[in-house]
Formats: sequence, structure tokens, C-alpha cells
Amino acid sequence: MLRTEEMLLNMGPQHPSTHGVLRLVIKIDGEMIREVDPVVGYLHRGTEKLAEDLTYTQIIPYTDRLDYVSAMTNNYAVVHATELLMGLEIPERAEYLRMITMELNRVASHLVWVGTYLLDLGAMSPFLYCFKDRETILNLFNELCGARLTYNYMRVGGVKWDAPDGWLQKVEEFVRYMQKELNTYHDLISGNDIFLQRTRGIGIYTKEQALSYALSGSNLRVTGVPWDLRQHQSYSLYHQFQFEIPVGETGDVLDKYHLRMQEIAESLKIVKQVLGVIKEGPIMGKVPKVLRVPEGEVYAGVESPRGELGCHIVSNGKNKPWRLKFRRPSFYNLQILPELLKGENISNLVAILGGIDIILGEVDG
Amino acid sequence: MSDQKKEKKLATEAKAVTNEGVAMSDSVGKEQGAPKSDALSQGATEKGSAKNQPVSKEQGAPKSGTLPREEAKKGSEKSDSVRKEQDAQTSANPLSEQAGEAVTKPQAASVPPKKPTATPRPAVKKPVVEKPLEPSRKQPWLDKFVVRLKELEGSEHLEDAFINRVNHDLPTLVVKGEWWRSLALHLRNHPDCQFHYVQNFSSVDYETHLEVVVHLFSFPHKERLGVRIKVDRTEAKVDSVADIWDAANWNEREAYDLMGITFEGHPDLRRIMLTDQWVGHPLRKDYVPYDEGV
Repeated sequence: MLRTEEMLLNMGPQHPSTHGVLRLVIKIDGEMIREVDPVVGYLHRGTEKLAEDLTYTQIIPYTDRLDYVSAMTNNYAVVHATELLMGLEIPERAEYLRMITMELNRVASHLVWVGTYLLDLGAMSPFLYCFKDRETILNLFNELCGARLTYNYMRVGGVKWDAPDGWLQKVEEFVRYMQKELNTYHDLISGNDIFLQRTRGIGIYTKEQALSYALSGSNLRVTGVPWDLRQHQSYSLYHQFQFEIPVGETGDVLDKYHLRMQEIAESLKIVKQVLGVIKEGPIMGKVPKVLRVPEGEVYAGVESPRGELGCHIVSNGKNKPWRLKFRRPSFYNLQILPELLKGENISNLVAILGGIDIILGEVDG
Repeated sequence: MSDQKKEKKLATEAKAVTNEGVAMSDSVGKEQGAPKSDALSQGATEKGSAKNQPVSKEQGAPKSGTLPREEAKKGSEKSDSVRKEQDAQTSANPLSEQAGEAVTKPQAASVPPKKPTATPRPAVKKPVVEKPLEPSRKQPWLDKFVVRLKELEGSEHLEDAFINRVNHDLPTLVVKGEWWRSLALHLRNHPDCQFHYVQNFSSVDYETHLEVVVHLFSFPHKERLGVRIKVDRTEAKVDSVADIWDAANWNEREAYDLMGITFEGHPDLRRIMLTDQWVGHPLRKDYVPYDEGV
């Protein structure tokens, strides 16, 4: 065996496989990783501090920029917490529109993950398929609210825009198309030998570890914990609809891939059910022009594509929050990375890091 | 869900009263709350008589002129400052202060008064007052839980335990920082608790003191729990729980970085979001940006 020396390797913050501006300081011994120190904060914009000087409606566009791959769920998190504090009734159509957009956004987000993750592993073509289909969703959103990524769509009490004529039909067409298209994805990716060899058996952690690190979303479910806030701490109108919570078996990165593909199918199922029951009606509840949120404290979590996205608001009865804190799932999920990489081969680094599915805008807040 | 909605509505309609319920649990809060609400209800009646009828909240808020509201606010500020002094003397629970304010605000904005002292419409008020008195569905659980906590060593640091009605009936504890670590160990390890999962780790600057707010979840018992840990503002120190929950590690670093709370015993307490050379802690309410060039 060759004698090797320990050396410090810097990865990022400008590295395509870190999906943003994450920096990893890696101590390696030959090809073995001894220690990893993630350095975050390069994208810290102080959203929580800024929010203290903004009215509740003004905060919403800032949330678009946290998890910029699924801005709809971010919008909902802050709006939902505010509505809880105010005790507002939301019109049914508004809730349905919210659910449609959130679930479509989940599909889009998972497609981004599948595409970029395989790009990390060296596969180019799935990326093109994923982004082609994601583009359809972005176009639908563009038609609905005039933005492709930063939607600023939801408001306290409802949503800003009603669905334009024929929009719901387009969504339905897309759902039908996408449900079939998922088979193409499986044909293309799921059986690929290189993909299987790169992902099988790596990045495994136990259920206890996952709970202690407070992982959420697919990262928690992959260990076999059927935990989904949409069902277990039900919000919006999710309790009206049937959907499964897929869980993993082995807990490796390959499992995460299958899990997220199943979640796409479940989201499409939810959208299809919502489209069956949505009726005409108002899209805004009775909300005063100036939102004065009663004094109190609330923490409300919603299931974002990456896990539990929570919003902790302390209000002192003014039109601006006294304190607003986001529980950002990527931030929690990334914490386990040093644990996973210890003793791994350096060639697995990108495969494990990619599997966590982080968005740096959210990690840094 | 319909139950929840009902409760939600209920909670806002008579938030004042629920919050008062919180204050009631603390005898100091009660004493202080009483004179204040009197002063306020006077302001409210003035406004109410101008309108001549009790208005529901939705109507009341936009319609009521700015003038009476401001008056009421002034009143509340005054009594606030008085009460703050009292607080400082008796080191009373600041919760009561919050609760007191909450009593004032909805009253100032909308008219439904909650005490039949000097107001001439008892028939209308009664239902509003009675509804929130229904104990929360979580109340029995919390009562049992508090009895067990009281048996622990250091339980005199438990300042308050109440149900946060707005937040899906979240049982909430308010404790002093000294007790946090042993309480955390109990919550994590005791077979009756098993709060293995940190849902949220937050911190708040209340200007009088700082608070670390932790929301826990127990998978075996399917229970949620909020813990508010009070920390002194000038000497912001509290024991670290990073070895109890791995999730607390980065969160404590974040709270240290942005809120300036030192977690003693933390394995690696460095700034996480800002650069190492940063001066100050931005989420403090009195933070002033430091820039040598300016």
C-alpha cells in the first residue's frame, strides 16, 4: 500500500456540483475523506432581519428567494402562519389553487433534482428531459401569475390571481401527459447500470440519526419513517384527498431517487383530484387592507419538496412581525453531511451531497 | 378540521380572553392585568358609545376612526410603562405583559368588551366570554405533564405552562435558562416524553430579555411541545444541547451568530452565516451596523 499524506482540499464556493455557493473544506488521506467542514453563508441575505421592517404582504416576495426552486411552498409557509395567527377563513377555491400550484411546484422541484443530480453523475440526457417538462410547469405558472420562478402568488387570505380561462384544462393535460411520461424516465434512468453502481449502497444513515439531525422530507422518509406534514399535521385542504406516503427500504441514494419519483406521481394524483372538485368562487377571504396581526406566537410547518418548511412568527399586534424565523429544511438536512462523508471515497462525495437535495438560497436564509 | 377552524375563529374572536387566561395562571399577571383592563375598557366604552352598538371585529377594524384608536393606544402605552416598572421590581413574568397588551389591542380596534364591569350590554358579551373558557383538548395532557415535571429537580425554574390556542393547541413551557439542559435531557430520554425530533429552533429578542424557542416533536407519543427558554440579555448564556440533539448544533451556531446567545459547552461555536470578523449580532433589536469606512 502506498504511503499517503493528509491534505486539505477546498471545494467551492464556485463549484457546479454544490448547486450554489456551498464550500466544503475536505481533509483527505489519499482518496479517503477524513473530515468535512461545510462552510455556508455565502448567500445569506438576512431575510429574517429584513422581514422585521416589512409588512406581512411585503415579506412574501422575499420568501420566493429562499428556496427558489419551489417558491410556491415558501409563499404558503409564511402566509399560512400569518393566517393561523389571524384566524382567517380561506375561500375554498383559493385553497385549491394553492394546492395545485404547490403540488405542481413539487413536481418541478423534483424534476430539477433528478436532472441535476444525474448531471452531477455525468448523465446529460435525463437533464434535458427533466427541464423540458419542468418548462411546461413554469409556463403554466407564468400564465397564472406572470413569473417563472419568483411567483409572489399567494396572499394572506387567498391568492392574488384567479386561474385564467382554460388554465385548469392545461393543467389537466399536463398531469395526464406527465403520468405517462414518468415511464419514459424509468426507462431512461432507473435501469441504467452506471447510475445504479454510482448510487447503490452509499449515503446510508439510520432512522435514529435522521431523527436526531431533524431531517425531514424525503431525507427522513428514506429511512422508513412515514412522516409527511400534509397528512400528519394537516394544513390547507389536504385531508380531503387520497395519497400515499412513499418510504424507503435501504436508505441509500438510489432509494431517494425512487422515493422522489414516487412523490412526483403522488403529487400528480393530488392535482388530478383537486381538478375534479375545484369550483368557481372567490379567491380572497375577508381581509382588512392593513394587516394587523393580533399579538401572539405561532409556529407552522408545511411540507416543502425538501422537507419541513416552518415559519415561526412572534407578533406584537403591529402590521410588521416582531420576529420571523424560517425553519429551512435544507439547512437542517445539510448538517448530516460531515457524518455521511467520513471515511467515504472522494468520488462518492458529489453523489452523496447531491442526494441530500439542498438549495443554497434556503440553507443561507 | 372543522373543529380546528371553529377553534381558530373562536380564538381570534376572543383572543383577549384566552390571553387573559394565560395571565391568570400567574398571580402577578392577574393583579396587574385587572386595573389595566379597567382603564382600557373605559376607552373602549367611549368609542363604543359613539357607535352605539357592539360591532363585530371585521366591521370594527376598518370603520373605527383613527382618533379613538390612537387614544386607546396612548393609554395602553402609559399603563405599559407603569407595568414595566412593576415588572422590574417584582421580576414578574413578561408573559403577563404580553397578555396584557393583547387585551388592549383587540379592544381598541374592535369593540366587543370582555368584562361586564361598566358596559351596558351584558347580553351580547356573555357568549363571547364563555366560549374560550372551554378548556383546550390538550389541557389534560399538559396538566399531567406539568405535575410530572414538578417532581424533577430544579422545577422551580418552570415559570409557566399554557396552551397556545392559535397554534393548533400547542402545549408550551416557559423555563429559565439554568434549567434548560436538565429539562432537555428529561424531554429527550424519559420514556413518557421521548421528544427525539427538533421541529424548530428559534430565538427572539424581547428587549427585556432574550428567548430561545424550541419546538419538539415526539414520534412515539405523537405530541408536540413548545419550550421557551428565557435568557438574560446582557449576559446571554445558556447551556448547549448540541450533544442531546444533533440538529441543535448548527442552530445554536446560527442563534449565536445572529442573536448573540452564547451556548456553553457547544463543541464548535463559531459564526455560521456571517464572516468571522463581523461586529455585533444583527437580530438584536438594538443592532447598529458597524462600518469603518463610513
